[in-house]
Amino acid sequence: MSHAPSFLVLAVVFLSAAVIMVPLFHRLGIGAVIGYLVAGILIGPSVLNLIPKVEDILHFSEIGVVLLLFLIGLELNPTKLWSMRRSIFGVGLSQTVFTTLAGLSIGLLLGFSWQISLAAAMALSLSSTAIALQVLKEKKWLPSPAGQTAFAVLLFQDLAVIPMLAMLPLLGEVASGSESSSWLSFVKSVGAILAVVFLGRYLIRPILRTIASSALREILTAFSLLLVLGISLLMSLVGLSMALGTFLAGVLLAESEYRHEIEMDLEPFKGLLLGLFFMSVGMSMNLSVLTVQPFLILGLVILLLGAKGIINFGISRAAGLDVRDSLIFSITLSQGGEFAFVLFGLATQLQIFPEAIAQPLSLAVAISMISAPLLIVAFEKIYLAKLAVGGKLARRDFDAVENEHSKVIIAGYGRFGQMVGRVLHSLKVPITVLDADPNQIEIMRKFGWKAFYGDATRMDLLEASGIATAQILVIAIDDMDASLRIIEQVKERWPQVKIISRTRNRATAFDMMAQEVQVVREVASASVEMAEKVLGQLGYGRHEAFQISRKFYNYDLKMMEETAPHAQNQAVLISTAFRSKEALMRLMEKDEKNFRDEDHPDAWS
Amino acid sequence: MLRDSVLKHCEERKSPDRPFGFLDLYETYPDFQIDVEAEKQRLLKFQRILFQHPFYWYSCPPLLKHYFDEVLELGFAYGPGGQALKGKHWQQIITTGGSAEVYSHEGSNCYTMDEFLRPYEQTARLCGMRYHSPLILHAARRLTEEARRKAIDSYKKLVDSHLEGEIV
Repeated sequence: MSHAPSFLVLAVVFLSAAVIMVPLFHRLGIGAVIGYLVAGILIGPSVLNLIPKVEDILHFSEIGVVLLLFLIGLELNPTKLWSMRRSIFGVGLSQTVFTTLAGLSIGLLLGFSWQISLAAAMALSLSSTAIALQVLKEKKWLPSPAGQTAFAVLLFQDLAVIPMLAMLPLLGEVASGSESSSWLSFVKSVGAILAVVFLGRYLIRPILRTIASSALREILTAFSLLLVLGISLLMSLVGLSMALGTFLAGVLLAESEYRHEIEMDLEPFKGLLLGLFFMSVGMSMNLSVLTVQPFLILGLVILLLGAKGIINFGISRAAGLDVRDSLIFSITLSQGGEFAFVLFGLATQLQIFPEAIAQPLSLAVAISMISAPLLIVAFEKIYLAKLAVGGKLARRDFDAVENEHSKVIIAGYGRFGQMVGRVLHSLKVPITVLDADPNQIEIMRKFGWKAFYGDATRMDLLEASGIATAQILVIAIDDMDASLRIIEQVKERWPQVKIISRTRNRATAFDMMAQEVQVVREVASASVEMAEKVLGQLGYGRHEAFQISRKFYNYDLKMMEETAPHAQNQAVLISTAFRSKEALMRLMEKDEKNFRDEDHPDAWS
Repeated sequence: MLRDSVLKHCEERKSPDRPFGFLDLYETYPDFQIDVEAEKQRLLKFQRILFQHPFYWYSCPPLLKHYFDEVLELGFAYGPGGQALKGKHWQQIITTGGSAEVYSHEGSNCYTMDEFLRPYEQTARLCGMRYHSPLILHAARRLTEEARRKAIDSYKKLVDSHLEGEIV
């Protein structure tokens, strides 16, 4: 083969692997993450050996994780971060500490020195931010208590890496540098963080403003990338976690007006680079160790997942999560994390433990990382099966929720649903509110409302909200497909509940009306209101403008209702459209005639 | 037309010790959502309340009736504690379609204006107000230019006498 540029070969190999494996795994319902991991294994040294230098790729692909954290920081808000401090330092700290202690004890029991045990335990206590978050996002569990707590713990772990990295040299046989060097690095770390904060607060936004006003879209993208990469560089020079740095930057920008622009610009990069990261993890797995000592590895994996799983479960229950959320939390965080590879690498370098220990541990971590998505799938299937049968697990969960007897359930508490809720609340009508935004739910709960997180298309959530005894279900969510799904299922299981739904367009409206759902068109009232205002500006009296616009609104509504039964019949629809134009003109003409009639001598006597 | 020229007249004559206010109900409350508190405050500010309206079906237009229903509250305008309007003056300026003749026992409308206006008289009485017979402009649509001018003058004079406090 002639000299093909190596990066081209690499790119083609990677992209091919991704394009083949990921859709396959997605189809199988196992998730993209595993697809990437397996793709990596396949093209890595253990199987097809298409990629020579795995280490470099791994480093490069960390950018994917870094980008992910930046975007997550962007989507957060600092007040929320502050409000999460209890989770972060409470649950996060206890999780890391307990897991490390457990690992330390096990290591000592197995006869290893305390230095080795501690180093290994610290590395193993960390969970994979990328995988955990990916899973949580994919399954839409991020807004739930499980997701939020998991996220807080992951954030804490990111912070925890710093002291861990700092401690490793102290554990090593090789003496680390003098006192001054560790002080120096401490100062450097603080300096770097301050630099990021200063940058974020004072410099970035003016720069963004200048760029944005020049309307050069690609420069904005370039600047966003520069920001992320630059901060990563700064952090890595100082020895801090890159992801932490970019996360901080993201948080600082979260309240800026450019947040959405940046998000949109970086999103495609994130997806691809994350995929690359997972592939590199797959590639770095040295499967030969697996073939030589399969039981050792298997044992390690089970020990890792089991111990962490149990500790996580205990901690989350202690923190007040219910069984279901605790299970999700435990499973999502039970795997090892990518930082383990970093710590193992450093530990071997510092000769804290030999390759012979690092390799199996790395392998165990990698396998555990693959296992997490699989475990989640298994969990879902088993748990959902139990739910359907109304098994013990499910029943206990529902008992944990108060017995709901609201007359009205509002699914979706954005601007649309809120208005409805406020009207009812002012009359003290008991209502239950469902929304996928945890902030909203928190506010509602403060007011003493019954409010639940979640995806209203989940029937178990509706059931927990008391739909079986409710009078009315208001569907006020944005997503019309989801609304239709809800209607279909609710009509089937609880046909006695009256459903009133928000609707966006005629097609959806007709669909809903055919299922005996009362519909309210999103925009109709508002646009008529605008017509009324235009009439006012044109010099029509306010009352006249009001009359005309209401008349039109009612007429239009009537037309829609009359057309609904014929929704399938195109011909009728078309002729109705014509008829309605004619009819409207006749209507308007009649109004004019009424005015003129007043000239008749007998008209007003 | 009628109202506008009178309005101009009043604007010219008002002063701090002779305040003058004007409310176009249909312009202010086109959707019939009357701001009751604001209207009660308005009533408190003035001594003489004049209602100008066409005579539709022997009564006032719906929004004005709605105004009476909503604003003349128990405990405000009448009933225990309802002293807010006591001693104030009530007068209507009414335009009718029919001529003066038809508003008689012999005419096509069978009853006199006074008889048709009893509800308003009684409303004023119950609110402790002094009811004055209305200024009526009959056959409002068929006025000659001359008649119109005379009507406007009468209206202006009426308003003036109120402003001067001549009507007791």
